[in-house]
Amino acid sequence: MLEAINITVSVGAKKLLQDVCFRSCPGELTIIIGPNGAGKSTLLKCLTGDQKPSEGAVMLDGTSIWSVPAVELASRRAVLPQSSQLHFPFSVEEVVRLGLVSGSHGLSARQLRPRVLEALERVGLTSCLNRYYQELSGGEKQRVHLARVLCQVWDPKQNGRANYLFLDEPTASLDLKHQIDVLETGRKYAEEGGGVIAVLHDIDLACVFADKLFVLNHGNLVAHGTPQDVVTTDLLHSVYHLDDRMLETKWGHLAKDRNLGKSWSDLRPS
Amino acid sequence: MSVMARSEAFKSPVPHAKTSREVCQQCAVKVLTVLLLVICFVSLAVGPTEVSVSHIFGAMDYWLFGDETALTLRDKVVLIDIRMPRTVLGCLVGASLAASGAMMQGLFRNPLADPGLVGVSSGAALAAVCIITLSSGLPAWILDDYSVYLLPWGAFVGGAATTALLYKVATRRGQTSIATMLLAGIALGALSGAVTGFLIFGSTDKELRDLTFWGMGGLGSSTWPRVWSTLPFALAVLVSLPFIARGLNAFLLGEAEAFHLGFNTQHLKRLIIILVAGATGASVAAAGIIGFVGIVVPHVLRLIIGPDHRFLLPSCALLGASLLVAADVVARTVVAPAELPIGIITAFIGAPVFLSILLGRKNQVQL
Repeated sequence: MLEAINITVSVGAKKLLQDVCFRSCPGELTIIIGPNGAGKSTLLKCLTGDQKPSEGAVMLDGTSIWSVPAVELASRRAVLPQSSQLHFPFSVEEVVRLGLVSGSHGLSARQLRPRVLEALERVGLTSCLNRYYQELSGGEKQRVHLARVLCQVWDPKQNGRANYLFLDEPTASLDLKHQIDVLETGRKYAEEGGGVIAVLHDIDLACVFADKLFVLNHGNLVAHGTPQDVVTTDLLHSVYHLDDRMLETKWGHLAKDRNLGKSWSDLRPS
Repeated sequence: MSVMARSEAFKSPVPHAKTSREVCQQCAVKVLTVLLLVICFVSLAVGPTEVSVSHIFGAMDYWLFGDETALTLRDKVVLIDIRMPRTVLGCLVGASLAASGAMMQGLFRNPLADPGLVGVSSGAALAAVCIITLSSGLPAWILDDYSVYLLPWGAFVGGAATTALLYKVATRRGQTSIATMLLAGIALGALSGAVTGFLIFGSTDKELRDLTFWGMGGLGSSTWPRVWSTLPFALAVLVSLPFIARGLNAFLLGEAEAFHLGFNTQHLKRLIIILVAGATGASVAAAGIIGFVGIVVPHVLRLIIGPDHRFLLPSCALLGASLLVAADVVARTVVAPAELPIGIITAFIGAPVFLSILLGRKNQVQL
């Protein structure tokens, strides 16, 4: 279990996060939503061990994440970044193989390549194996990185402990089909016993895929729970400042239709 | 049967045909080692004084096993005291420059970073000039016994300070801005140029001569003590290459990503800055500022074997050493008995090669 206990992050006098609690259980896809500047990325950085909160603690299976060495942490959690800039002429295979670079995966040299191929198959990019990374489109690049982080924490469960997959706005540069594909990959990872934590802007997608939603606003946790409980007209009103007319059309419909959050599989495009 | 089939399928879902890049990666170190040995041999054989090939082997015999019978006194002086230290120093300086170029480019995640370009060399040069002009004020016992070590260590400190400052200026919230880095490098270069000019203005005739000889760059004044004083810095870089290669690969994705992949980025950064500063400083102290090796060698190799530092770093060291020794051979033969500054040769070889690569591959590799 990955927990943030009353974390506060301050930069100077400004508080980016204030007294936020967070919990991600194995087997669950947890999605963090909120308007721009709400503190979503800061929370994610604290959870991945990138940033030390000014107050509070982040616990991975009961141990402070700060006492876990970087190598061990790398075998327990992987992070899909929002965007990666890579200025060097790597081939796609070499980029995916970087996920196995720390050597904490326990694979022999001969097993590395099949793992890379399998990961590329999962994101549907097998044909790009020998292409240059720099020649790919933005969406393809993003999927190459997804294959890379999948390689890093391949088994959702290892020695009885869950591994964690972090997806920071994974849908940003993807078309609709691949948005759903990437979230389904996360979904599947969770179903196999891993923990998945994603930051999303699209509330539709969040409602469809999330087991738990956490809503941040101005650095505060304003709501958390199942999508049915969390996404209400009031919430959209207060957090996103949507006026009545907009609520009437798209979001209001979404919030009223509680069925949307119930079963993601019914809504999956065939 | 089905279990067999499945496990077979898992082992090799697609038959693994080696790409040309993989073949190059496997061969690069072997081919470049042979190249370096050949060039070193040429460097020992070529010069104003004729030396027969058998005497070169005799010199090796003497050098390695102390067998004095194989060598005449004249050849001993020419080979052991003049050409051998020159060749060894060329190897050390070339390998250091090329490897630290590649490391610096990995650290800054930009193929344009180069110790010469971003002001590390000028920082080291400033420190060296300070030592040449101001060391007369030091106590005599330091000058007598340690003067040969004073220059590389001073240049090392100068290089380290510049690199650290550069990184500090160019990095904001974990992101290193390349534009800021280049601009800061230009500013630091101008500043150290100004201070250097100021020091030269106030220097005595003897100091001025030292400065001019040293500032032109070149391996002309290579001696064994100079080799020994450079060796530790170059060795530190060469020995550490296998240990930092994986970390540098991860670093190319970004600092946060390298941490996510399990690397202690702070340690790695600090280690690389110290190694680059040491190697650049010692090289500048031994042979003056030699441009282009640190940027052309890694770039050429990256096009052939790719950016994977496990193969790139050792190949860079080997090719850098070959290039510098070869340039030195040219520098001391074309206008013999005079000598060209070696920087002229490296620029002559480096710039056209670099430009032709950019022209030929401009669609495939973006900077």
